Amino acid sequence: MNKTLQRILLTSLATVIIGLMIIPFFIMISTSFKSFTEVTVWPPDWIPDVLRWENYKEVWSGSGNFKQAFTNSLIVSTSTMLICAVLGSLGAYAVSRFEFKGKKSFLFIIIVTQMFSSVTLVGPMYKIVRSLGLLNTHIALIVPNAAFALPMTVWLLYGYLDGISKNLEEAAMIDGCTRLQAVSKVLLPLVAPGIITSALFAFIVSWNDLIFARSFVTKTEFMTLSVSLTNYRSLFETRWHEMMAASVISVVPVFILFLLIQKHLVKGLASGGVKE
Amino acid sequence: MNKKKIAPYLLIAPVALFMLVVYGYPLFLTIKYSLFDVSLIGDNDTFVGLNNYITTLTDKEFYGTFWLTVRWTVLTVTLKMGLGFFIAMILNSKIYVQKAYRFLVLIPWAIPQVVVSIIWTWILDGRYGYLNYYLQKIGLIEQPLSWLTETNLAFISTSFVDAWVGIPLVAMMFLSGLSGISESLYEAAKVDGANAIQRFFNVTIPSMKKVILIAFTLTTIWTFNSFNIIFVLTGGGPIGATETMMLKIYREAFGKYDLGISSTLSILVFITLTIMSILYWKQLEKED
Repeated sequence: MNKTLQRILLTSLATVIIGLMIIPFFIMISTSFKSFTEVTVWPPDWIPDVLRWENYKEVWSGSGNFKQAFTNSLIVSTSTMLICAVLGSLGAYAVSRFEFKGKKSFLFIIIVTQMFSSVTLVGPMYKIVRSLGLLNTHIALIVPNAAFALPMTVWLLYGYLDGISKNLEEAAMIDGCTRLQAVSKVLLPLVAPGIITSALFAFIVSWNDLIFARSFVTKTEFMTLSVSLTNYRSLFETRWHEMMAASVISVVPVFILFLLIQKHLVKGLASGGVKE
Repeated sequence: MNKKKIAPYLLIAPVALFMLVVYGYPLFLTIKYSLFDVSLIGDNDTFVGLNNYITTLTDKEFYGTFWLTVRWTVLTVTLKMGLGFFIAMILNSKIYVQKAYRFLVLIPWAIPQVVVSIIWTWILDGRYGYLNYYLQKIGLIEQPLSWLTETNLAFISTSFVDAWVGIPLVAMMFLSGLSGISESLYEAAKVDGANAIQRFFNVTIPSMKKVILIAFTLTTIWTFNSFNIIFVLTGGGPIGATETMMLKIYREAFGKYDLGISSTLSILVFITLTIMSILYWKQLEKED
């Protein structure tokens, strides 16, 4: 009896805390369906009388140019993801399956990169991008984003690969497979969830980037979502319902991806620092 | 030549090369530019030796910004660690719907930071914001407060929002540490007559020392480097009240086009964070 009561009390406490943590998320969704006048009503209404889907339509094809920005974000993030998946898989396979000189330093450098924020490198990068004539291109965003997502991609995948026994490939190789065959037929199916997780992690990093997107792109046709959102805010300071609709639009893709990978991602990130 | 010996190098070559060019070269340029008088948009640069460092280190504003960054980081890291630990403890206890809650708590972290800042700008709005309304309603404040346009409040608000985003990951790290503590340790302590508080300090904390140290270091680095949240919420204002090192580095380069000073500040940040990381490694070695 005492134990059940304790459990109920703890659960209520957890409910209150988790509730407070996720309220902003619901405020975003509820505001995105309101009308301009409903937004400024006190007390704030949690559930609007009519769900105004037209807010979304307005934002999607309106003056904020979100359709274009969404496409740009998609192009940039998908490309970043592909670069990281390919390079990351090769690198992670090497550190997980071979012993070689310089392995420790390689892993150490991977960790050290986490110390540098993109803010500290964006200035020199701007000079390089400009001298190459690449300002206002997708590639100017893809390559730096890949460089910042790659170390974590390698790290996550390395952790994942290390959890899979070497014996399986070795057995296949004894049975006459070449290493390439052993990897593609035996290891690849097992490691696929790991590759997808780390690739999607790179996608999310790139999707969230504000610094490169703000610094290397000035033309509207190349702007990504994070820049369009901040610009929209300074242009239409009070149109909160549309801003929230735009926010929901830019949250949806990452949110879906996040739902797909959260189990592996949390494990990988949480153990990331712990293992050295 | 032994095939097995070169294979790993061939495999890491693409990553290493890519990182060297895209990451290493700008890093080298940062070091170089810190010794030059160089504009972001011009084509000329002049070697000035340690002049940028002298200018920066004799500038009162630099120490102001540095001190502000330290205070902001301490406040934010304390919030993240404290609340993160508390949430991890609750999620680790025998509650109902544990799995669902462990997932829900990740939501703040899953939202892009630009969106997070926009949502919170709305919640913290001085006229129609939700926070002002509910705080007035429960009688904590009498007048609506300008959360983002009054200097002290803006400092606290940006720190709070940054903590909101950071808490889930910290809680997850702690949670993975807590779930690794063997139940038998608690049982043994119980047999010895330790109450819940004693068990917390004599079993939980010692077992978590390493995880706490790692989480603390990573969180401090991430928080020190925090940019997006502050940039969108206040842009460093009002009157510089939330301008941390990162915002200053960005403003020097992209606002004043002074890449020399901006790079110098970056190097000083690297040095600070390196010293911190070395202390952390030392501490970690002591623990082992």
